[in-house]
Amino acid sequence: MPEMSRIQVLRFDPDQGSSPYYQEYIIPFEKESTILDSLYYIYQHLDGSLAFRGSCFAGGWCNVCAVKVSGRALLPCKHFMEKDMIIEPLPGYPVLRDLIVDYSRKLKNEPGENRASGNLCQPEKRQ
Amino acid sequence: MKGSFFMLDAECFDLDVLVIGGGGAGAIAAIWAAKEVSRVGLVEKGIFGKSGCTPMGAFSVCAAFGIADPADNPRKHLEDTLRGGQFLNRQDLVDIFTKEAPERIEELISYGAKFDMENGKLHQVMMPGHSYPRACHYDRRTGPMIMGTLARKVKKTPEVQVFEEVMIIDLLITPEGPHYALGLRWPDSSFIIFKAKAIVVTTGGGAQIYKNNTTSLDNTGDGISLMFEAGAELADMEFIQFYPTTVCSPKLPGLGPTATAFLRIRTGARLYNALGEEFMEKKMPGWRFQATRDQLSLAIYREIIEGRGTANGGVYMDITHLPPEKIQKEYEIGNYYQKLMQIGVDISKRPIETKVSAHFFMGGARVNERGETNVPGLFAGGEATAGYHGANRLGGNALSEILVSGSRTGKFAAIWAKEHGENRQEEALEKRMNSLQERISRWRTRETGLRPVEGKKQIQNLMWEKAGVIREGGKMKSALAPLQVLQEEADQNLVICPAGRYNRELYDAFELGHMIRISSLVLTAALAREESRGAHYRKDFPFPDNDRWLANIILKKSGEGVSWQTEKVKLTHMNPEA
Repeated sequence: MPEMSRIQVLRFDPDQGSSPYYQEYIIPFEKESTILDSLYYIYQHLDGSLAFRGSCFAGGWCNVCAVKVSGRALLPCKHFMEKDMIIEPLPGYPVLRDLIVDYSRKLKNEPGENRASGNLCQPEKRQ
Repeated sequence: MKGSFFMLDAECFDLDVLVIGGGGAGAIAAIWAAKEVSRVGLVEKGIFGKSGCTPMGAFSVCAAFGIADPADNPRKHLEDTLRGGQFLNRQDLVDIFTKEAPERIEELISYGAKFDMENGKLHQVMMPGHSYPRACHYDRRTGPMIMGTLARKVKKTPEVQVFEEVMIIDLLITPEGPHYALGLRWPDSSFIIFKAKAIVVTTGGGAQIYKNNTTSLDNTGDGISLMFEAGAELADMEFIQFYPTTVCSPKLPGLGPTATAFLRIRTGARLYNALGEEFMEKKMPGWRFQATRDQLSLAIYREIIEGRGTANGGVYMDITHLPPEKIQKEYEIGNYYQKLMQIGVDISKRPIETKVSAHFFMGGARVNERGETNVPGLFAGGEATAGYHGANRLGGNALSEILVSGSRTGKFAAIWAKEHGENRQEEALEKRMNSLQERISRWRTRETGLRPVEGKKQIQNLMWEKAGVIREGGKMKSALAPLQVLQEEADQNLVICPAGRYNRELYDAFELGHMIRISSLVLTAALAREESRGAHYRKDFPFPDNDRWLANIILKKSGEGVSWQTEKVKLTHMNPEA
């Protein structure tokens, strides 16, 4: 029996008219897979309706995939998956569907949220 | 620019020039088009400035400034590029590319681009296959820096309107112009129509047809496929660059798919097979700074298929023979050493596994020096074109070539637009739109069938297996039937989820169609070329044959199929050396 990972994804589709809800997916745990790989795995094998962004899949080159994972805003392509994860849309932006937010309209002073830094979706600054 | 045409149920935009594909070539094409005309549209499948492959270019952009060595000049750059391309390049295009590359980099700097400097001048380093140090760079983030610079410039150019998350799914070409491009918006699955006097395609290549690849997921050959369907001739489709040393194990998130290659380029790594043999030394003494990507990929892949690879299908790259202090110093750049340490990899103590992956299409639309295809008013630039790189591209030539070919195609498309008038074709467009709408409805309402993402996977495995690094006639022929089956399955039995917003399966369904078409074109050309040259290696024809094959293979749509012919290379600037 391979090790498994439990992933809860916050889903929302305005066309369905319902409130956002968490959907649980159980997928094989691969220690060398990134969190974005996990989302793609869910899309590929379990649920073709899951909406998320991701272009380079290479770790912080395109910077479009930003989400919140277990309370932390991050680029899921730069972090390895864990056995238990809650994946939600990036805070601070209006949610368009599932994990897709409107980057062009940043919300002001959204209370009680762990806000992403303004640079998260910019190419990384030189260190 | 916005308006409504006829009775079409879609938003419509009336443009002088439409640029399809918002990577580096598309962005600079739009900037140059805007110098000539006032209504320029730039359509990007993802988010503009962050999609496509330009932001993934890690390190080098080559131009013969002659700073690091005054003996360097565009002629020398041309000679290296032609040798690297094994003389299959269009020499007139390479001449323009090598002459204009320094000007385009200066143009980028005028837009605010930052490069690494030394004593107030651009710092230039050596790249394999180049005879002088001519690679400009910015950290290990040259591509994102270039893309960011161009995206900011586009946003400041009022003549250019950017359309993000729109996929062009059909081109309607009218002999006297204007042309139409039918787009699908990812956010809500609605149609959007562009009418443009000239269309420029800068959508990149299609390395996603291979299981192992280094490109962004967007790189599915859409533009090449659309141009072919619209009647454009393609060239050199058999030449796909396989990058010899890409990340295998451990994965290195954050460093990019070609991160391991940096060890080879910067300090000259050693390569070992699973038996611990340093195989390159035997195959090509002095290979470290000389072996081009085609030579190295072939040598590494031979080790794999002959059973001397690692369990992950790779080989080991090693620099542990160097003193640890030197390693730490050499790899300070871009915090490379530190980033690897954070992942738990100490390159001064252990080797890294590396593998071969599809990286770049040398082939694409057959264009002239203005970026024009054979279809009037249809232009192309960047990786979607053929001719600049011949049978194998040299490292560092992609980012500079897209600047040159992109700027030229944008400019000449705009000049074309100024000289051509109006001639509407909305009835034909309405028919095409209705038929596409019906197709999408069928995909959405089907209960079961082939999911596009499954089809993509099948293509990737099939092409890697049958038409990858080492090719052979019989094997490639055996890919034709499964490809045909997949084509029929995709035509008749595709199923996608019904979601209206951000439906990934809807994008995938169209991309699958392009990937099938591109794969079949690659197979046609690769079967036709009965020799080995550059990135095209055939086990059954293992040597180059200059008498017969110093020629490009030109593909053209013929009925529902494809026809091909050869065209001798014009040796206007340099003859192949004996």
